[in-house]
Amino acid sequence: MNDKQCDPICSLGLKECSLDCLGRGQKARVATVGGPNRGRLLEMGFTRGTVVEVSRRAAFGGPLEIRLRSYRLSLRVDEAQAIRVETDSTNPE
Amino acid sequence: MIFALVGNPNCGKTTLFNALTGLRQKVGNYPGVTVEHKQGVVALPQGETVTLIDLPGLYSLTPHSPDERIARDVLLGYLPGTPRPNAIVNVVDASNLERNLYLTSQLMDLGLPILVVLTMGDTAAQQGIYVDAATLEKELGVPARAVVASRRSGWTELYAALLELSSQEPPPSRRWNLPLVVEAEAEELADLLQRDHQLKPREAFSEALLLLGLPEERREHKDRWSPEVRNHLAGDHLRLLREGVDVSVSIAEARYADVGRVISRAMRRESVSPASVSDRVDRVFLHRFWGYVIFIALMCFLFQAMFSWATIPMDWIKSGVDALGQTLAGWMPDGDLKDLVINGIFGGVGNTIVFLPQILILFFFISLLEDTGYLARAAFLMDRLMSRVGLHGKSFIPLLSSYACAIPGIMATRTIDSPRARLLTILVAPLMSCSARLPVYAVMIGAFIPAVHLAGFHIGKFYVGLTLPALVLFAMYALGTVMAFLMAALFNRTILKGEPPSFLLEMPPYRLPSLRTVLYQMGERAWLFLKRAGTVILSISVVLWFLATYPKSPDGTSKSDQIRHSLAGQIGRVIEPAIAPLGFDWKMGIGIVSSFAAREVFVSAMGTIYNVADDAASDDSKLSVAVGEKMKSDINLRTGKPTFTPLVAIALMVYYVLAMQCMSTIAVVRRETNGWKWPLFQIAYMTGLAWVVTFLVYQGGKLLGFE
Repeated sequence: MNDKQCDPICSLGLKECSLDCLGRGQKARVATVGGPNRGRLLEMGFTRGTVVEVSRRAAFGGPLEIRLRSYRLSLRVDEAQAIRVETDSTNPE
Repeated sequence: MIFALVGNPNCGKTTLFNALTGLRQKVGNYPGVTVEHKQGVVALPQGETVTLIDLPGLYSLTPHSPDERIARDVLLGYLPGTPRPNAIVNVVDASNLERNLYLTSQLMDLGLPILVVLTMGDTAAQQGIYVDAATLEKELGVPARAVVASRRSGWTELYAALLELSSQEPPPSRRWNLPLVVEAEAEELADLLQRDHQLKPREAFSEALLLLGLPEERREHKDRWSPEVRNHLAGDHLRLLREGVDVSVSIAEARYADVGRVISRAMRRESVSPASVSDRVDRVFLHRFWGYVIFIALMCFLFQAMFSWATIPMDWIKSGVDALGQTLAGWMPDGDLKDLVINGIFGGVGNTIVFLPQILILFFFISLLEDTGYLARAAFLMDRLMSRVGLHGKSFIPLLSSYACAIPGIMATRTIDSPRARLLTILVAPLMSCSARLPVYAVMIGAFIPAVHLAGFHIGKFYVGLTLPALVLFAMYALGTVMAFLMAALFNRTILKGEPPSFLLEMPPYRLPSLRTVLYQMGERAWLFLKRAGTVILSISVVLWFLATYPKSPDGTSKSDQIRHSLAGQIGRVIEPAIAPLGFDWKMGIGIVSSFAAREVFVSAMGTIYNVADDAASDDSKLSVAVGEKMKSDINLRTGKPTFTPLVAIALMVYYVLAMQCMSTIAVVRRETNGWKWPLFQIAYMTGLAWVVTFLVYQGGKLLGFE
């Protein structure tokens, strides 16, 4: 299902990538949100600048667990791909 | 006085509802949808009472799901038959304040008086989060009370606030700010709504925001609004888009900005604790290896409980119903009425209510898993497997339960938030081999599959290893399971295409379950099931009894001749040409027709047809053996060969694996999908599938030389 390869830019400290590219425990800020569940994601708190962290990944390419606004939410990989995040060298928190 | 209880999922709303209303509850469905409607009565001190409507748990008032659509319609008074509530009681989880207050921000726009009830203060404190209700009240501009529902602390203050709520003013005007362009558009639209639909200013503005925030294709109730409103809305979107303003983003950002302001004053966060209890537990429970080990162990336990422990109370119910029938039979004069009561009503309804223990056990476990927060973890672990065929991580437990019985399985699909994944689960759940098929498999395998040892060794007299009967039994379970996944994949790509699949699942912190909530939910499900058994299933049982009894044969005809001449027998012979290519004759046709009451009726129906002596019929296991022997010796008069061969037995089992032959399931599917469309579709596709696969098995077997 998920054939898309992640660009290694995030790990290189470059600016923007999709949320599913973040490594476990890595934090970033939300840039834009897309996909069919965009409205829902916005209301769940994925607004611009919100700090998000990939806290866990299920085995076999299953869902991701995201930590944001002091709660935990799990998303499928394709849903996470629709969220663009910005990383910067300085720790966002 | 009617108050609506509103809050996010997992915010402790149900616990508060149960604590406030006690047993004074009514559960039903909203008309036309499967969203549950729950209401209860709160007895306030000084003798006043308030009706509390428990709305489904929601993240927002923007209608993304049926739950949210209903909640919004109830709060705005759009739902026919449900009066608009006089005020809102908003439950807010202190440990997840930011996201919970997003909904509060939307609720405050509605122009109804609001009381904020702050729960989960203890969970929050464990995480180093402290929320001050008084500051929250000041910053929000609406009363806020902190309670601990399980210990009833803060109860006096809560009652006092509820008492004042009806006479309270609606919250003060909006304190959050939109970008100017959006604000201007929203106000224009609100004016239009006031003019064309006589909405009050507050409601009109709130509705304008909801409409502006929804993408075009998701807008429901399009025909509710006047053409001017709709045109204006379309124009607004274009205009704003040209200016580079995304309305849903600006609204969400503006609300969260205001929530941030409130939180910065009302919430205090002490040094973040290194890792909460939930985090530490999840390091094991969601571990890539141990997580699955624990999950599988829990599921084995559940399976064991439903499959074997449940049989003890099931036997009690069975003998209880039988004894009641016998007692009643003693009082009634012989005749058709007695036969109807004993065989039709007691037989039919009795066959259904024996599933009650399985339903109770399953819902005990599900409530427990849901209440502790483990259900979300199970869905997280299983989602990858299930999503390949369009199912949801939460489809796993309903499907597993369907091995015991599809009825509790289908009822358990209520935990699945995605309507499409839920329907898909309901459609394929009856393909899992339920315990009612086991007697059919047992008779057929016992009589026709030789006990050949395939692989294994002897310990003394005992053989340890795989035998042919065991392999055949396993193959039947595997066939049903594989077909369920294949059909789910097929429906997912065809009839249920369209709605975007979604898996947004909150991972709530682990909590100690409240026994009260668990027992309530168990009781609720059991009662819904019994109501069903008392109505639909009762009437179908009577119809089936009628088919097997009329027209009457002259006195003195044997029981087998009687059933042959009855309507059921005639139907059996009418359908014979349709089932002959599957290797079945009209007697099996009667068995199939009567299996519609419940699959295991096949065994007793065959017993009746083959005129098995009544003394054997009193004991199920003896009956099976006796029926099997009779079937073996049945010779087809035309061909001179046995009617039943191992191939026919396999074909019959395959048919039973795949065909929809259970009126109780149909009744439950009708209830859960709110209409006849899906149960009828299910009967059609399962019967078609059963026929085709059985045909292939039988004819293929014949070609290969099995007879």
